[in-house]
Amino acid sequence: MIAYNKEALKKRLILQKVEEWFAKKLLTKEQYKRASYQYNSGLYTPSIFIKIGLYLLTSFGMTTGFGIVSLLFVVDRAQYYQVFFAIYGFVCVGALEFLIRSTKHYKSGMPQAFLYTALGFLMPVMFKIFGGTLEGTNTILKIALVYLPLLIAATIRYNDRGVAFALMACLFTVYFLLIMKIGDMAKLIMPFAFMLLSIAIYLWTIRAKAKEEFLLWDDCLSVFETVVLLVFYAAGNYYVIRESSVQFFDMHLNKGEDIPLAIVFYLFTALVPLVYVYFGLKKKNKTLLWIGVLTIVLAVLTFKYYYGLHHPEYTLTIAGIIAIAIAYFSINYLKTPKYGITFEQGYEDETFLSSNAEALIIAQSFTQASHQKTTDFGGGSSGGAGATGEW
Amino acid sequence: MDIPQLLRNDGIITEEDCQKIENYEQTKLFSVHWELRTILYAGILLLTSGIGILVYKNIDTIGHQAVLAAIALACMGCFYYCFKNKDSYSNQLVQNSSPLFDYIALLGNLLFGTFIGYFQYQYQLFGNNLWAATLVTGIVFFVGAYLLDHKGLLSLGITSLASSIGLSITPLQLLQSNNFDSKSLTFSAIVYGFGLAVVAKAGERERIKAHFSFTYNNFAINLLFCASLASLFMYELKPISFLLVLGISAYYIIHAINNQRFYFMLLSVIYTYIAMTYAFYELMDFMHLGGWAFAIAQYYFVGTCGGMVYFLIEHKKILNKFYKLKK
Repeated sequence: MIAYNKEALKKRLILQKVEEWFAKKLLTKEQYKRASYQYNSGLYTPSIFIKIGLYLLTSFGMTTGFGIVSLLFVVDRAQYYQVFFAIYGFVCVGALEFLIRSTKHYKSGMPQAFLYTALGFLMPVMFKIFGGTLEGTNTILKIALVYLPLLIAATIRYNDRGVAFALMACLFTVYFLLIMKIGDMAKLIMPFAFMLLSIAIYLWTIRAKAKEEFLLWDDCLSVFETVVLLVFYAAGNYYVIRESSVQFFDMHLNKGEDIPLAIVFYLFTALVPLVYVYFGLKKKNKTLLWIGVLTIVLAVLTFKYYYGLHHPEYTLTIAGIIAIAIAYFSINYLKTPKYGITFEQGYEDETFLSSNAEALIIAQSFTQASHQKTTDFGGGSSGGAGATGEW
Repeated sequence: MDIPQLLRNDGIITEEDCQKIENYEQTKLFSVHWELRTILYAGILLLTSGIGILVYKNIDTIGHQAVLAAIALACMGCFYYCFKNKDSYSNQLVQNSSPLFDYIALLGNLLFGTFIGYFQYQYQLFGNNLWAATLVTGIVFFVGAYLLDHKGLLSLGITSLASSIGLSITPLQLLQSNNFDSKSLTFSAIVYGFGLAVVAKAGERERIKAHFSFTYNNFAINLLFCASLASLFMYELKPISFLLVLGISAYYIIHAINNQRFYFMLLSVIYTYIAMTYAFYELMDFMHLGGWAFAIAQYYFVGTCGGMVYFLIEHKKILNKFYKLKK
């Protein structure tokens, strides 16, 4: 099943908890030291920036390496390129397995680099081998169908979030194209079919998350959860339905006409985000909450798109006032925790990155905003407050 | 997996601790801190842009004096709130009790910037010396940053001061809008970046707002590397520029390891790699290798990427040989 050492992964999870309890002063330093010693997983997971560096350098070095090999051997035998791709793919998988077994790299950037490259090389190979058996289907469906088992296997074995995301994308593509084959009925059932599959996957994910044997795949399950919540919303969103009817099902809407069941989809567009936020708070689920906030924005944009007031400044001002009011009243309301919800920072939020990232975002967004204003008034190139460096 | 019970069975914690931990896990509060902060930010950004456009469209009916007066009034209101509610100054981190404090401080300072900019445009407060307007705003941002312990204002101060010497150093504009063709601009970028790094170091050493160090260094490292790479690419005296890149890189790698800030390590490695690759190509060009150059270049990338990966993984061991690191 999973390529990593299960015991090591479990130790890692335990130690994460121990660190939280130590930070909250529930454990003494002595206890913390003993626990760190006993549950030392030995896995190599560096800081996020080292990860990025390792990922970029490994991918780049590896592709140039394969480039050299190709130049030496493949150029004259281009018709057999799938054979070489298969070899490269297996070399990557071999390197990946070696890395995991002997050097204990875990999510260090290097395993990801090998994994993604392997999947990239193996896809055309799979297509060559199995693609021929699927006669009469269109190419995208063929590719997605062939790729699906590979992605499922990779998700299970390597427990990688990127692959889990690709798996979801692939699954929904297959689903969409299969329903399209039904014919005329497709456009009527499409939104509901997507909602149905999303709900099914969501319910499965929630149940799997509660189970002990899926503990090690928690990251992948969270990816599934996020994707299906978004897909569920998109499936019933008015904008998506209207525009995709025009795009995929040749629907022609004259002025004043509307899609069938428009009122249902309007209600869906407006209400589902609120339901997300409500349950996010009730179930204390961050994923639901963030997606709820995001979909509220999408809902506002949807209504704005069809019922725009042609006065963006009023929309901006009013939206700003509403957002500030909501935040202000919630912060005041939550000064003392209510229903187990608080405005205090949680343990996992107290990171060094968040406060510094905030400072950078301020520099980025507000510098431009304030300079924008001054340049607006000025006509000539010297009107800016100097941010352009031209003068 | 019942972790408290597991720790209990392994004899690491007592039954009592186990109870305490289980109790903590059950009553743990759900924090919506960053969610609400994000909404608040989005709101302020929307509102300020909305009002900006509103004023711009209606300037003929409102009149400049009225707008200026309104901005000044709002600005003074914010400053009044800040200085009434602020905790006393300390060289250490000051955590303000009210969550809205930071935002009102930010709003007040931004309004001040707008006020000066507007005044300058409409009434030529500083004559033709536009830089003076940004300089004044920048200084006010800096004062605000230190008095109110506000990293956001510090970032704004750093960017304003930079723009008064003609540089745009907001994260996304560093490469787009700067014209490093100009020698004097490149030179002033290096000097300014160096200055920021020195201020950061001094702050750390003297323990004056040591937590500002990241913000200073972040601007400094990007500015220094971009400017010195620009001078490497464009001007004569390439060896000197190359040594400059190496020097900056060495400084920041050691800084990164001593402070456990691997962000600086990553940036140093990437920028240095660019410089190294450029130097390598220049060298090959110089040696007139012809057809061989392409083959060598391929091996160069494989070899150096391997080397860099090795360095990133084993940086502690490698650097310990050259430099005694803090434990």
